[in-house]
Amino acid sequence: MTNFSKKFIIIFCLVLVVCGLRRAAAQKQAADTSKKAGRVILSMNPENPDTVFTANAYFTVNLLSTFPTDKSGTLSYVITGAGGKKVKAESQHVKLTSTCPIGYPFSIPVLHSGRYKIGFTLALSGYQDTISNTFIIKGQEERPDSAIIMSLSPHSSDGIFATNAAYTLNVSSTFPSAQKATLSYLVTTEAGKKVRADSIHVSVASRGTASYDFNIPPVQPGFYKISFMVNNEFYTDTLRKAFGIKPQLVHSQHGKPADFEAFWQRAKTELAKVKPEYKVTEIANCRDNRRVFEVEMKSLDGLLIRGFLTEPKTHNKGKKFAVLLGLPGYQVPLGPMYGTDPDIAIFTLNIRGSGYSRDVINVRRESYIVLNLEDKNRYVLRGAIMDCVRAVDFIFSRPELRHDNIIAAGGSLGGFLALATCGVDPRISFCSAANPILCDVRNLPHEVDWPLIDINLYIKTRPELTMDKVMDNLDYFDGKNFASDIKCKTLVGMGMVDNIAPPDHVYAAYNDLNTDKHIIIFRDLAHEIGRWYNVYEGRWMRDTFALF
Amino acid sequence: MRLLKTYTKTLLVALTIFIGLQSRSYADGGFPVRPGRLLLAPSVGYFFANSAWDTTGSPAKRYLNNGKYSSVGVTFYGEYGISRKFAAVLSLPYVYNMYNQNVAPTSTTSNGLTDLETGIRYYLANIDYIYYFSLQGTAITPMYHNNAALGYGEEGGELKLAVSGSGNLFDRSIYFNASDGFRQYFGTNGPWQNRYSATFGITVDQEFQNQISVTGTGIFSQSTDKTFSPVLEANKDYSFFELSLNYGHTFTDEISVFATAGKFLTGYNTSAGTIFSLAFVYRLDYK
Repeated sequence: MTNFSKKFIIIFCLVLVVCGLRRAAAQKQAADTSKKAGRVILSMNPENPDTVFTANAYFTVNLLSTFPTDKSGTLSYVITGAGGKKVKAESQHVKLTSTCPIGYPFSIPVLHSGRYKIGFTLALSGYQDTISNTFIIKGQEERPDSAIIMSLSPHSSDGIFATNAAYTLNVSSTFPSAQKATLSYLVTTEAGKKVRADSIHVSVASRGTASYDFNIPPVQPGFYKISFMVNNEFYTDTLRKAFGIKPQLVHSQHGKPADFEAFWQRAKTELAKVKPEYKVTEIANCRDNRRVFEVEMKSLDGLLIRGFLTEPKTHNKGKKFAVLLGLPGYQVPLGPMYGTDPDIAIFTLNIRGSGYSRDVINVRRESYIVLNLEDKNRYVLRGAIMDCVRAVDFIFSRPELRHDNIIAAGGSLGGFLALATCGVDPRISFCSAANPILCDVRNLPHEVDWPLIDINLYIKTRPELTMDKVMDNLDYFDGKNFASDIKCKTLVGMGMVDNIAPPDHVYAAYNDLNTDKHIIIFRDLAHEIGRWYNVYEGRWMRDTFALF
Repeated sequence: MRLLKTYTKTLLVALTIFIGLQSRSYADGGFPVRPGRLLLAPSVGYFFANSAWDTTGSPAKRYLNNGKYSSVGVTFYGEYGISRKFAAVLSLPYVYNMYNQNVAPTSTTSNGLTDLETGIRYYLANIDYIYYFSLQGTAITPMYHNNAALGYGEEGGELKLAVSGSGNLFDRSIYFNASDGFRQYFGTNGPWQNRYSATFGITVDQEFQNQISVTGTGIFSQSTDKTFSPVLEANKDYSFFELSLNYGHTFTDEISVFATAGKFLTGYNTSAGTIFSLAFVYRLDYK
C-alpha cells in the first residue's frame, strides 16, 4: 500500500469518525430537545368497554400534554371498514394546556352494521401521534309508529328477593285501536338455561294503559335473567332485566389451587429483587390546589411503569395524607386525578401495557387480556398485579403519605386489580372494587362474550393450548380466589345486568370475602355503578381512616 | 333597694346561662372529631333584654324603672380528637354583666369566669356513614365563689346524646345536629336540666364557602325547690326556647367564622332576650 493510499484511508476514517460524532451529538441534542419539549400522551376510551355499539359509536380521546407551554393543533379520525376502505373522516381543533388532561368526545355518525377500525391522529406543530382501535356496529331495530310500551316495577329496590321474584309490568299502547296481545316472561340462568316461563293474554285499550302482576315461582338461590315480552300481530318487544334469589348463598363450585398463595408469594419475592428506582418529577400543574408528580418506577421483570401522584397543597408541614390508589380499567389510561379533598393524596397507576406504561408491552386492545396466557408465570396480569404491589411500595417510600390509610380502588379490570392487590398485599387498608371482572372464571364460558371471545381466538392460534389449560392458569388470576385472602374492609359494586362482570360471579367473590364487607347492587345497570357507590365509598373510607 | 339588687343578680344569672348557651353550629354535634385535630373557637357574644316572662309564662313584661340588662361574654371553646372514638371538649366563658335603670343605683355590674365545662365525647355509632351518634359526659366546675351573678356556684354533671347527619338537598349540601342532655347541679336544691338543641344548615354556594343554618335551643330547668317568689334569684325552675340564625364563612380549610343572631321566643321565669355572637373557628391538625 502506498503512502498516498494510507493517508487516504486515515483521512477517510477520520472523516467517518468526525461525521459519526457529529451525527451522534446531533441525535443526542435532538433527543434532549425532544425530552425537554415534552410529549402528548394519547389514549382512547370507548363508551362501551366491549366496543360494540348499536348505531353510533362514542369515543373519548384523552390528551395529556407534558409540553411546558400550551399547544394547539388538530385531532382527526379516520374510520375504515372491510378491506381498509375509508368510511368516515373528521377533524377538530384542539388546545392543550400543559399537564392538564383533557378529553375530547367523539360521536361517530351512524354506520351500517359491521366491524370498523378507527384511528385518531393528533397533529401539533412539530409533533404527531396516532392511536387506533376497532369497534363493531350491531345495528338498530326500526320501531313502528305505534307501539305497546312496557315498563317494569320490580317489587324489590335492588332486585334481590328472598324466595320468588315479583314484578308489575306496566303497558301503555299508542295504537289507535284496542290491541290483543300476549305478555310473557322467560327466566333463564346467567348461562341462558331456561328456568321458568309463563304468559297471559291481555287486551289493551286504544291508547290505554294497564298493569299486570307477575309472581315468578321459586327458583334456586342465584342470579337469573328475566325477559318480559309483548307480542301481537303488529308489534313485538322485549324488556330484559335480572334478579337474585338469596345471593348470600351463591358460591362457586370451583376451589382455588392449593399453591395459590405460594404462587403469589413467589411473584412478590421476584418483585422484591427488582430495585424500584423511583423517579419522581414534579410537573407543572394547571390547577393550583394540588401538587402533581409524574412517577416512574421499575416493576417485575424490570419493566418501567408510570403513575401520577397528586397531593393537596398545605401549609402544615407535618400533614400526612391518606392515599387513594387508583387502578385502571381495561386499557384505560390514568392521568393525574385532582379533586378538592384536602386530606387525600391520589396515586393513579398505569399498569404495564396500559395507558402511559406501554414502553415495552404495547399490544392491541384485544390482545392484552390474553398476552402470554399459556404460561401463568408470564401472563400479563401477573406482572400487572405486581405493578400494583410496586405502587404500594412507592406509597410506603413517601413520608408525607399515611401508610396505614391506603385505599385501593378501581372499576372493571380496576375492580379486579383492587381485589387482587388487596389479596396479595396486606398493607392496604381499604378495598373498593366496582364491577370486578374475572371472578369465578371457570364459570365464565357461556355467560360472557368478553374476554371469552379473545381467549377463544388466542387458543385457536396456539394448537398446544386448550381451554382447560387456560382455566388452569386463570385459576391463579381469579378474583374470588384473591377475595378469601383479603383482610381489609371491602366495598363491592355490582350491576345486576352486567354482561362483563355478571352478578353471580361478582357475588361468588363477595361471598368469599372473610372481612368487613358491603355490596351495593344497581338493579338496572350493566357494567357500571351509580353515584351512590362513590358517595358510600367516600363516606366509609373517611370513617375508616377517621377523616371526620 | 335589696329587692332591686337581687332582681338584678338573678337576671344576670339568667343571661350568664344564655351567653354560655350560645349556638355552636360549627361544633358540639354528633360527628366524631378527627384524631389529632384541635378545634379552637373563641367567641364573643352580646346579650340584652329589657323584659322577662314570669312564672306562668304569660307575655313578657318590661323591667321596672325602664331597666335593661346586657352582657358581653367571651367564651373559649375547644375540642381535641384523642382517638377515633374519643374527643376532649372544653368550654370556659367569661362574662361582663350590666344592669341599667333610671333610678339609683342606675348601674350594676358584675364580671368574671363562670362555669368551666370539661367533657369527653364518645363516638357511639353511625347509620350508613350518614347519621352519626355521640355521647358526651361533661363536668361543670364553677370558677368563682359566692357570686350568684355568675352562676349557681355548684358543681354539676351532664350526659348528652347527639346525632348529626349530612346529605344533599336541591343540589346543596345540608347537615343537621340534634342533641339532648340532662344536667344535674349537685348542690342543695341544685336544679336538673334538660338542655336541647337542633340545627339545620345548608351551603349556599357550590364551593362550600358559605352556609346558613337555623338553630333551636332550649333549657327546661327544674328543682326540688318548687317555691316561687317574686325574688327570681330564689328560682331554679325556668324554661326558654331560643331560635337563632347562623351564617358561616370558610376562609380556608383551617379558618372559619360564624355569626349568630338569636331571639328568645318563649319561656317562663326568664328574660326575653336577644343575642348576637361571633365565633372564630380554627382547625389545626396534629396528625
